[in-house]
Amino acid sequence: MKTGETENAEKGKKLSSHIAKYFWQASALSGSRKKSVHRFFRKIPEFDDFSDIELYTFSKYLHVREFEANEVVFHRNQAGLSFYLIYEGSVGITLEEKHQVLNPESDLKLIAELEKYNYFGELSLLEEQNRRNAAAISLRKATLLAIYKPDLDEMIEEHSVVAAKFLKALSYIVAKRLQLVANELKIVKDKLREKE
Amino acid sequence: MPRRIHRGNKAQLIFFLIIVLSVSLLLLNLSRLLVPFGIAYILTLIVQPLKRSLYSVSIKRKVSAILIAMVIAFSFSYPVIKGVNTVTNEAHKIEYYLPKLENYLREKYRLLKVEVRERFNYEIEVNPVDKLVEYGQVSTRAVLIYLPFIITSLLEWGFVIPLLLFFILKDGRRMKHKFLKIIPNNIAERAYYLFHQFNRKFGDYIFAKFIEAVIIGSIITTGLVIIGYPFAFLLGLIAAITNILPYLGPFLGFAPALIIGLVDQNPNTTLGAMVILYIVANVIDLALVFPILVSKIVNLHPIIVVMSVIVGSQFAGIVGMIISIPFAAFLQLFIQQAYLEIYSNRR
Repeated sequence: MKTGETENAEKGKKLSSHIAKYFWQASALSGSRKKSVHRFFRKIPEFDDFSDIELYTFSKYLHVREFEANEVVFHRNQAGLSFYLIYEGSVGITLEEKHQVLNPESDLKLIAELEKYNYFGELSLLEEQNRRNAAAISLRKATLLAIYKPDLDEMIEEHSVVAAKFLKALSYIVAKRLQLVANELKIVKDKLREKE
Repeated sequence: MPRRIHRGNKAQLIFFLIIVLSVSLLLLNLSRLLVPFGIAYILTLIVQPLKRSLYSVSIKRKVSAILIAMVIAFSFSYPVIKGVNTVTNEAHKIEYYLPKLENYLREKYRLLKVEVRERFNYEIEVNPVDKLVEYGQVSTRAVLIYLPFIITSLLEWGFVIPLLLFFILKDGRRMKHKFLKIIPNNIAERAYYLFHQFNRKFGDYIFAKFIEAVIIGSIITTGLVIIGYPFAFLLGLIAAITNILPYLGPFLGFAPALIIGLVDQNPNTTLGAMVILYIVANVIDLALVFPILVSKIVNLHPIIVVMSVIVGSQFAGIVGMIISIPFAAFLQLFIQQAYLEIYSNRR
């Protein structure tokens, strides 16, 4: 996953080497495609709207963060400034407070276990002064792709089409989450009614 | 079964702190490197809006970096080459003005002495005029001697700064990504955010101040030329530069104009018109330019502004006075973030 770096593989005279390398990785004939960012995003339905070149532009704003097993990505109630996609490894989401997360003796109750191609922390990009609703902790060695709030602001000004598509993807994600919450609420309401 | 918690890598944190400290120490000790690098960095922040609009019309990073660097190189060198003559001539004329100023001061001092003797029957022993005149002569001579050196280094910067600017614009994002890679995970988010906010506040402030200085400088110069006041360009330049300092600046800019007006016995010199001009220029600044441009960027209480200027001047002189305000704004942001962090669990 080195979309942003030159690897002196192809140096077309007019085509930039980054783009050539990107298309090379995106092509079905390439052996290394399993590792490409393009391949990764094509597995996430929310990013279907992006064209190849838009994914290439988008990937330039991403940061690769490596986490060890059992390392905290963020705590609950911490100020949130980034959205994460899981590129490798798995991440657990818990509602426990900071002292419980950091206490080795306490048993963590996970509300979700996220694997490759999953994402979390999307609200932090949409909200001013966001606080994380839950804590995230890597369950095993994980590679996350992060996009930070200042990067999104920059993207809106520099590549507005890509930014608009990304925000659209974010709103799909939020809508999906809302749908889930509405369903849960309905189940709880039904159960309450049954008890009455 | 107890979990083994990975509490962030201490070695990473130490490595990060060592890198940051050594780079800043190196820059602080090499002033010849620090000044052009600092100016290039500030210019990069100033041209951010221009850079973004070039990207948004699909002009490539490298091309837009070249374009901006060329525009800066030209607009930096042209006034230096063209304006040097005018300002040097006016600065030389100042040398002839000094004897006039000396005579004026001596005369006033003599009259004061006579008056004090008549009224209070007291002889003033001290003679501050000699010291003042000597100081004036020494400092004017120093400026005149150093003028060629200043111009040479200005020309040197004229080449180095656009070059640095070009590379920061072209590879800025890559540098930023590399920088973020060495920040440990547990502080990365906040460090990156603060770094961005600092850049934004600093860049916007310097840009706003630059525009403000240009507006004030142009008003004063044009006005002085119209009323036929001597040293119009030099006084305009002084007013523009001193205007960067808040509160104190306008008075510092006004003082030389007043002294020249008092000393100059030329009947063409219109002192009243000059005073009105300075008042009008500063009213425009206070009523229009400052509220629109500057106050939106730094949301600080006036007392904090004054205090930070005083503290800044104590630590780093005039440069300290200029950068103290965006620095105070950043400090405020930092404290806000720290507050949110510390009190996060008490919501």
